[in-house]
Amino acid sequence: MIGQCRICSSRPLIWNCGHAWRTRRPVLVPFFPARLGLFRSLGEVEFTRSLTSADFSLGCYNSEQHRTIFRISIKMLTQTKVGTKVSTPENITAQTMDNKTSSRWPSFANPLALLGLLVAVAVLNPWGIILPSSIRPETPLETAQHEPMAKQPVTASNLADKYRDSCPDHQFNSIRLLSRSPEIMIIDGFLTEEEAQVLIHMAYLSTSLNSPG
Amino acid sequence: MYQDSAVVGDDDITVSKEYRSSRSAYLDIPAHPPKTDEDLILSCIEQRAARFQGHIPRENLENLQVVRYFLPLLLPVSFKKI
Repeated sequence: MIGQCRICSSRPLIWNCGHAWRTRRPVLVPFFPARLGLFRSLGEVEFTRSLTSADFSLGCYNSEQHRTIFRISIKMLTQTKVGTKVSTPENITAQTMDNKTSSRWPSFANPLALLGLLVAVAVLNPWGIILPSSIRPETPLETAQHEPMAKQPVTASNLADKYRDSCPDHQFNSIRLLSRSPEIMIIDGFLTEEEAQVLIHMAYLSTSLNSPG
Repeated sequence: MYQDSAVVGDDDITVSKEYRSSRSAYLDIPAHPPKTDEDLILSCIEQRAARFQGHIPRENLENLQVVRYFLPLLLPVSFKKI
């Protein structure tokens, strides 16, 4: 299994078991759908376990071209082996503290590193496969770039052309009653933005006298 | 044209209060049928307001009013020399 060491088969892959090995397995992750021929040729996921540096690397190996597409190395933060370490009176305390941290931290660090790897692949999206609909632009980029240029200034004649056949249906968003006496009500969305612009423009040109209601 | 907003006192006399910093502009009543583009837009808005209030007659509506509010100004502090 991929999740175990190939030699001792007793410990999960991500823990340090002291064995160096390399294995190549067919791509299992759903990032590479088989219906895309390009990624079928990517071939295998390559796991490499180093003995000397106790590092773990994950890569993708192209079996047809016999080359590694990419490789990401994950360095073990603490790889302390108690049996090979000489205990002296000076480092007993440090070793005890180190064992406390090293027994827990690698067990969290390596799954977190793998999780970070998966997130990095999903975010960087090197092959352009993962594109959820939430981040997919609804409109093509070409039309989106020309959209601000196509916006014309709102004038009374432009708006009147729309209203010449019939007045638009009224669709407001919400109604809030501010006070009963005097009765003040806020109708959110009563006027459209274009209507408000035209009314403000008309207010500067109006010659009516100010008369309170 | 904007003018200082006013209030109606107890004796139905319009007075201008200093504490009202807004300025109001009353728009003309649109001609019916509309003659200009502005009349057409105003009549549509008036029709909308009349329908919202329960299909009241449009004659009962007053002029549309546009109110401009101002942000309060921070006056500079003057220091007295003792």
